[in-house]
Amino acid sequence: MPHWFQDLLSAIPRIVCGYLLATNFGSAKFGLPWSPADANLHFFEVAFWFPNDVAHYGGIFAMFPAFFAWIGAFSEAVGGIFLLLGLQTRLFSFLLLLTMLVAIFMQQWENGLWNMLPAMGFCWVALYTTLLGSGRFGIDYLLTKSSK
Amino acid sequence: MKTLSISTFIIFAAMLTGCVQKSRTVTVNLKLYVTGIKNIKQVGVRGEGNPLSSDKDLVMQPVIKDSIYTVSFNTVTGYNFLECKFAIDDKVELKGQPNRRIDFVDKDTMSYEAKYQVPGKIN
Repeated sequence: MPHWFQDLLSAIPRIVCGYLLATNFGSAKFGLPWSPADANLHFFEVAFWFPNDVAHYGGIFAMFPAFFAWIGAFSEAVGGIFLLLGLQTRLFSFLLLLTMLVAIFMQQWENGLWNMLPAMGFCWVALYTTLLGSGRFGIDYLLTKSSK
Repeated sequence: MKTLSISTFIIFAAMLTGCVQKSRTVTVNLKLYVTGIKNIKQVGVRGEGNPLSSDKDLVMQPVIKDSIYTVSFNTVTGYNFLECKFAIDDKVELKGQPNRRIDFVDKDTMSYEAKYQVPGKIN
């Protein structure tokens, strides 16, 4: 299989997940220009209910709920944009990977497998993009091409 | 170095608390008019956001049995609206239809009157 075709196939899940995170999952709880008007979120603001959810995880999450809620929502909403573009792919993928592990084990674990599926899907994609980067269908490739 | 990192983390965490959406307490007064149903055991309201629940009634009190029911509650929210449906004896109204929407932009108290199974408000 030609390398460009492998890169194209591996780029599709990254782009789809980035799009869904930036336009749906993330923007519903983190203020972006395209966040739903009903959510009443200002720019880069995390939804009022999310720190309360995070505090219920206990431990260090209960000590800094606003911090972890903001970072988690940021990694979904803004990380989704970077994942979609393939820009700073490894950095944002790693952040997203950590966020999804928290979502799986701290938020959805008791709600059963069905409720874990979205976070698990994003987790698998973030895992391979953390290791492999964007491939040639991302801005990272264009930025580093000249130095190769 | 370790102390500096922990201090930076705590300062950063404290700063981010300012980046949380502002929430406020809104008082909601609901009144439900019922016609054509007799011997009602329980009337309630269901929805999202404390104290409402999507699968458990917030019980409404009868003003006139089998006719008029009311409930008042406070909710802490960052949104400018609330969605709910009424339920009589565990039968939730408006099946397959959108939830009722109660808008409270710039208001801290909101009154909403409705007829069971009839979309929209009547006041």
